Amino acid sequence: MLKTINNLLGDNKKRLYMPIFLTVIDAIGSMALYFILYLTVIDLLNKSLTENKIIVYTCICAASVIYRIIVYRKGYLLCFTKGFDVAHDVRVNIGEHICNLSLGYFNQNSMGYLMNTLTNDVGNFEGIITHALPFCIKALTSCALIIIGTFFINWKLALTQFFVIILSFPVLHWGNKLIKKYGSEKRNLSSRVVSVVMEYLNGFKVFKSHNMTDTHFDRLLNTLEDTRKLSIKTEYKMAVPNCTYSIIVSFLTPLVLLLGSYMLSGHKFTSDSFTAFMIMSLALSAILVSFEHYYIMLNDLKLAANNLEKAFSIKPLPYSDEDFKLSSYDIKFNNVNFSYETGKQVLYDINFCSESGSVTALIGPSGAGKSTIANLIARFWDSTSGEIFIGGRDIKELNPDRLLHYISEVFQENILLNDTILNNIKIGRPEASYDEIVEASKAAHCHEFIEKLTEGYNTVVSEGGKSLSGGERQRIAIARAILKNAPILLLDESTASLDPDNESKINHALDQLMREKTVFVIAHRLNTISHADQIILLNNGKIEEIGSHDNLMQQKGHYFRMVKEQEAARKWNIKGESKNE
Amino acid sequence: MNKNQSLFHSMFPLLKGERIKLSFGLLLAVICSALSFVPYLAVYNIILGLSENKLNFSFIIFWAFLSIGSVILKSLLMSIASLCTHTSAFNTMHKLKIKVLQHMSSLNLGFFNNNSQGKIKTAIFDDIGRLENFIAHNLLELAQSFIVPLILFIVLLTIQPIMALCILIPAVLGIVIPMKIMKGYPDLTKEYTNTFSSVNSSINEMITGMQVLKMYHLSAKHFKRYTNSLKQYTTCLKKMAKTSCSPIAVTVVILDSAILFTLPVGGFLYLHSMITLGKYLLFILLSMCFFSAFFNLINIRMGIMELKSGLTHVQEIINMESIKNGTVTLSSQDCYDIELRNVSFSYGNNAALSNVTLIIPNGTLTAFVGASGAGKTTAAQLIGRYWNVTSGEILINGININDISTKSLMNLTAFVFQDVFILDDTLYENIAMGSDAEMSKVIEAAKAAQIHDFIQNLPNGYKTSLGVSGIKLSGGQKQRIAIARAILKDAPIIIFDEATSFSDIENEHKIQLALQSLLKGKTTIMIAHRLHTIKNADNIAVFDEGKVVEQGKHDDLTKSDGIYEKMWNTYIYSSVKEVM
Repeated sequence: MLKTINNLLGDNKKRLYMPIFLTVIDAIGSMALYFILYLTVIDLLNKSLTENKIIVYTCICAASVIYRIIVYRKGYLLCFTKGFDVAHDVRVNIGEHICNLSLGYFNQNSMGYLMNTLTNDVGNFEGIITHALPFCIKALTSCALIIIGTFFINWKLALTQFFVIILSFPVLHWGNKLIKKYGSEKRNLSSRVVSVVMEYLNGFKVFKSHNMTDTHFDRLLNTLEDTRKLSIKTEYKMAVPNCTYSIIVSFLTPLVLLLGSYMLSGHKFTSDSFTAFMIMSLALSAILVSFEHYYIMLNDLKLAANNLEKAFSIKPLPYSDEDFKLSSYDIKFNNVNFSYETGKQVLYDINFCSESGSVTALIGPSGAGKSTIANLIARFWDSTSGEIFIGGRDIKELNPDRLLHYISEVFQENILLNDTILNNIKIGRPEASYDEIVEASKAAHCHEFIEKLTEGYNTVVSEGGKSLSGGERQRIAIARAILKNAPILLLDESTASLDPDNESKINHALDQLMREKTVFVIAHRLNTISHADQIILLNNGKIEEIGSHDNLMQQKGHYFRMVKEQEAARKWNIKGESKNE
Repeated sequence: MNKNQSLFHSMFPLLKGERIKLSFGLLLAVICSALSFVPYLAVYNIILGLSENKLNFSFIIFWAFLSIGSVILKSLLMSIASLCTHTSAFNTMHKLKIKVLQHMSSLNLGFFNNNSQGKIKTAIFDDIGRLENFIAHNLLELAQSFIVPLILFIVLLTIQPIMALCILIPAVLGIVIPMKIMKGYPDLTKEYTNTFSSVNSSINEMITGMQVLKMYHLSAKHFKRYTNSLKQYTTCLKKMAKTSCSPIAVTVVILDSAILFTLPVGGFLYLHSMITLGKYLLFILLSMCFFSAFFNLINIRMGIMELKSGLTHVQEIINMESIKNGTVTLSSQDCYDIELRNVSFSYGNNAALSNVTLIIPNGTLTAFVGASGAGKTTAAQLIGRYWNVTSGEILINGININDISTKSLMNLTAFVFQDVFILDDTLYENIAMGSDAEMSKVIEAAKAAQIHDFIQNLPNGYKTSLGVSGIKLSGGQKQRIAIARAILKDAPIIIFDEATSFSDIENEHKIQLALQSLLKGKTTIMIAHRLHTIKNADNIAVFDEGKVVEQGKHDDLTKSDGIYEKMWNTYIYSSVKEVM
């Protein structure tokens, strides 16, 4: 664990030395009070307390209080400010790292994980480094000081005391293991509860219309009941080590009483030493009891540090050519195989060649590998084997971020930034004039609806673009791509169906966008497909048929059958009178 | 104050049944912290014995075992107390979760849009989750940090009032001085909330928008936004640390140093024989531990603040008005006429429908057409009482749907939506939908919905799991599952949203065939996007800006020189282009 944290902190750990030092000397200061207490008690025992002594003791106390307020204040301030600086650096580093990852990494799954790491894990890291760490160090220093002190007085008794403290370690560890075990059980269960609740919420309309709300509510109740039971069970299991630890560390004082009095009666021990031991054991117990709480927090630090390290261990794609220029945009796949995870191959032996300026239509059932091919062209991922060439260059040599200069992409999920519509389109080409933006919007058929908004182009899009409909977001993304005018275009046509009422408008916009570019289109319209220079029909990750429309129609294979079915669908209307013309 | 009351007001009934357990737990906790003074008392007595030189072994043994007993008892009781409070915390949370969910089930279906889902999720999992900390920990700590020192203080007052007051000095100083210092400091909580949320929103945009940011070379710019917001956040945190370091240092150190006051005062009194050695000893020893429970109070305040804001959200949901259930039950065997009479509806302040009047005779097909946002989907959903109409009535065979029981209304209607909800369960369950239908019936429905062949080719057939853990279906396949569900349900009224989002072109014709089996002999409302599919509808209702502006048969409408005619012409133009 220390190594992980060490790696995360790097040189930053030096910044933590000073606050740690101050915490340590604060702990020494707090011992002064116990020392004065001891001296007073001894004087009382020996009847040697005088007014002068009281004045001296009080002055020492007052001095230690003032000293401690100063040191504590400074230590507290440094702990927090340095801790925040350190956390700030970790946040910046991890942000920078994430920006360098390849785009393929950003899918639904990993985004949740990254969000969690960047917000919660870093937050925990920050919280613990500033809150728990100084307390732990202080507790440990105080313990060490007390134990060292007792060794000077009587090593036998001190050793026994030390032994009891050592005994408490395995108990702490045991409790820790239980926390981990039930913690992960709890996490699993709670993710199940979340999914059951979300299913209930998402499916509520359907459940209601099938009168299933009761059965599903029961299911919900059952998982909630399971959570309740597991939570209680965890507390019961945890009670044993907690209780044991508390007994062991509170045992110190009675132990000293017993052994001390025994030694006292054998005259191996003065009453002064006995008193000192008693006071020290009281202090020691008090510190150790509060230590448990912070120990548990330190374990959270371990978890957070591990998650952070895991995020750092994801490596960006390598490249050798930082700043390159492409002069032609023909795309060639040479025996390309690909799998997202080992054992689950998605593409098998893909070979094809698309000329610069041509349109290639990718068709096939969902899951056939169409979007994977598009993603490989943009180098979101690297092929598992085989090569992909753009303009004669192997894309594994090319800087992925630079490669994206040459590519526009309009996919199903279109993300808008939390900015005005104008700026959302403008990012396509930051130097574009207002007129150019309006022109692009008109071409993308979004000018009309933008004008209708109360603030027109200056309307701010809410986070994720939720204030617009799917089709509207789509057309803004198309306008953006039109403005960018990159030579290679990757397109998912099913986007059009996001907004059935505006399907034809979106299709017009897409036609506009596809002009004079090297296009890869995941196609759904017969119109697009039949006009493509090349059609690739994918099935289960393999190319089943490849060629032009006329070519494939003559083959009378799978493509031919699809076209015939589509034609039948076109002529159909409800009420059953579909005539076979 | 008022807010506080309503918070505890709403919590109090929930704690019913837990009160005994909770009070018992709190009582034990108080006993525990009383017991924690026993070792101090033991040390006191032994030192006293030492000073009077009358210490004997059995006396020490007595105190040693008493403190052993107290330590063990304390630890045990504390565990039991914590179990008590935890159990009642979990029970209370459980009850509250059920209450919220149950209440939600009685709300109108319109409540279940995306926006409120996030709210519900936070309310159930985060906001209610805060109760654990409050009931299980904070209440215990509150009891311990107030009650025991208070009782002890009263006891000490009877022993020696001057010394007792001395021991109280740190509490006064530790609270008054920081308050003096804090006065005049700016309130940073708001700044904190703002900077924190701006960090989070920049993280959110950076991660979810990474694709766009990279595609348009904006990652550097947005990274800068991220680092800037971090800088502000860190600066704010540092300011907070700076503001709080002095008062906290004073409080913590002074509460720790009661001996500073008891030592000289007690020493003076002792030297002038105004108190005994024993009493002096007792007070200086107690100075070391009197305030140890007080430190918890700092954390409790934060906990209560969070709990309060959380429970406000929960309260908001519970306060929403639930829908009133009707009582009339109609047989789902008969056929029904539907009538919309002067129906108006608005979402909040946005009018979605105004004065819609429409008659849908038994056994006919009515198509709703119009631009997106014209109100056709809303009108269809009102028939299933997904929302309550704002004014006007919807009648089924002359009976207002508000008078029909929800169960009966749901049995009468089958909805097929654009986005199909798939259960995290087997294919069989996804078609049967809890109806316990025989396998043969399910297969029959699947055949009619043109999905049987696909299912049969799966290795596990109808037992194949769908959803998160199972196989993924294309949009068209999901659509056909939804049709199979509706066929199996065999409701007399069908409301169908014709979707076009088929992810592969082969599906379209199959869905059309499936639809044909579904609609046979039913009263149908079809929300149509492709006009050729509804050319032969018995009635076409054209929606525009929340009103029905035209209705009639296709042939009449195309001659009427209205909106439909325009729509049809555009449609024909684009499909001709399509076939070219």
